[in-house]
Amino acid sequence: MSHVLTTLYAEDEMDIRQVTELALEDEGFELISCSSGEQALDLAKKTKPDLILLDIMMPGMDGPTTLKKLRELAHLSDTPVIFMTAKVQLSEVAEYKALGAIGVISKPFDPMQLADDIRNLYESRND
Amino acid sequence: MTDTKLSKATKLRALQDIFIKELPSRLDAIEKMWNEGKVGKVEFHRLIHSLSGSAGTFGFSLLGDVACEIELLIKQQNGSAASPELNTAIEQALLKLQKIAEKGPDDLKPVGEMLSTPKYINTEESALIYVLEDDVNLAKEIQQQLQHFGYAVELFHNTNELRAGVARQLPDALLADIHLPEASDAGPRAAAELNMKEGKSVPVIFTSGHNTWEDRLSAVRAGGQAYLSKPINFALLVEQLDSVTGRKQESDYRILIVDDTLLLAKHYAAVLGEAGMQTEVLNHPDKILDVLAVFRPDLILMDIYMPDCTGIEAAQVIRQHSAYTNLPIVYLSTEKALDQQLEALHVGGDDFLQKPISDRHLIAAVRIRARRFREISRSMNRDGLTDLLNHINLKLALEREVSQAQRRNAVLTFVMIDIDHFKSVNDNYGHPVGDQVIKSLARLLSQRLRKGDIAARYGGEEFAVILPDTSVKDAYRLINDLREQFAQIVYNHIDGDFSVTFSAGIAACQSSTDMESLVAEADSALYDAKSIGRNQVVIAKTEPDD
Repeated sequence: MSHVLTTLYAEDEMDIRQVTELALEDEGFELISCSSGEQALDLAKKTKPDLILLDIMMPGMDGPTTLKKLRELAHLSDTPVIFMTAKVQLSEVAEYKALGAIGVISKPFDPMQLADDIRNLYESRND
Repeated sequence: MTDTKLSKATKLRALQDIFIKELPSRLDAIEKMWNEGKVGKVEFHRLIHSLSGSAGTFGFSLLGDVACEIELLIKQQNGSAASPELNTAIEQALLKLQKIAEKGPDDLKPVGEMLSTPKYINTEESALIYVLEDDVNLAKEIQQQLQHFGYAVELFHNTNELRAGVARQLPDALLADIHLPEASDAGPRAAAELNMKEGKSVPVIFTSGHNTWEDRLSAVRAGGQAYLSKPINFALLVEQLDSVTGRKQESDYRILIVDDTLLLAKHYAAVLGEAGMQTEVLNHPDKILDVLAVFRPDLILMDIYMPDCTGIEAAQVIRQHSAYTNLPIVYLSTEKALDQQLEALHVGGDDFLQKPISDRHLIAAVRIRARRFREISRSMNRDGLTDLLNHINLKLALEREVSQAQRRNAVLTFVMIDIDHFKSVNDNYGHPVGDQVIKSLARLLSQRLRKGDIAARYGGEEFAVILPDTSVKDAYRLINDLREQFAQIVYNHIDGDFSVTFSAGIAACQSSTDMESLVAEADSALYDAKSIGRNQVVIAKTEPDD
């Protein structure tokens, strides 16, 4: 049985954040959510998540920048990161993976499928 | 659906309601910024982007698509000086946005059951099948099996539940048990009611535990398209569903029109386009070979008299290429003299249509020939059992894809798949059952692959898949998924149900790989997969490309 994944989650849009929280609750995720890259960075200093979930396009610090800053924290240097973003092309996926993400969840997503999708990305990260 | 999932669906519904409530003010904000000329502003982009990402999740997938279009336009505009054309395009798209929003969610299913766009797979919507079956375990099994083949399935255990389901959304097909505990003819009655009330025809397939004349008759009377006795043969069921839901639908016929009179050519294009065909117009034959290669028409409509080169000469040039020997060429001309007509046909034309021609006549003449051409080339290029490409055409396709990938400097993977212990399937259950196994794997492949991906029957129980723009890692994930899915398909036989597995080898195309060595690499990876125990996917070891 897979263990509960403590997940740090940053998304600026409230409605999407709520859907994600709902979609992941009771599905083996312990969500620490916030609404910006800056907040994510703050929270990251106080905790050691198993997984980081970042929206790409956020005002202020965007997803990729947040990732770069998070990587500077020693205890998060190799924590798996998943990006979320609207309508991705395969080429973009490659680009985001090159930044060190283990995968990309494309929006719009199916809330009922989200937990499985994230879990799959997490489990197959070392393939 | 489990209880927690059900309660989640309710909560999601509540979030959807909030989204719907807030949508008008979001659209107003967008409109306001647009009117104030803030199209280049980040805030404007953000509003659109956010809609593009969230609308689909809340049941407004059309709205999301349009928002995505607008986002692309904005990106284009930011990249260059604002052009009036782009502005008009954005303006029109914004209007479309308003209109779509007024219509409400396009997806009336509960939010939780919405189909997301799978990450790899073709974006075609799954057909929705309603299953009316009182046996809970059997219903679940049907659901699982059909999902393997890409169908969305909802279960109903009695006619009341079904009624509620139908009120919510019409399915693409209904699979109904004839005998339900509530009444011996409840299944047929529910089916008849469904089709009577909706005034539409939802195809119905009946299942029954008793293979009797009465049952079959009541199925026919209730408008059943097919009748399956239990235990259900899933391979057969999927075939029936494919055919009643029109999943085997043909793509539009492609017609190339060559005429130096542009006005006329455009008129023909409009007439044929109206009749559901795709057209391409050339007003000079000199580019015809390039266009043939790209557009791959099912028929050429050719004017006879053109300056520089006559239609007859152009036809001769086309016929010099063996790939186009069978492509129908139909001349359009005012030519009335029989001798002239015969000469034209003699050198490679297929038929003669006289100008002026009525629209109906044109459509019929073109459609009949295009259809026949499709049928002939299908039977030549495709494997009869599976409808996948045959060996020869796989090689041709692979050659083309490899050279294209290398030219574009893109990744490409090639996969060889072989069904494990297939001989013993044939030996134990007979060849017809073996054929079913082959068909179901073919069906699974065509279902899961994207447009652009190519699947072929390489021979016997061997399949090949070309995956352009796909890394080895992504290909592995996809094929391994398919492997798991295939292993879960249950085949029914009097001697007991059984399942089958496959092994696969994956090879990546490097910048210097030629087609033959790519095939050899995938083949040897497949051999490795077989020798280390079968039912697995192995990636070919490659020398790194310099």
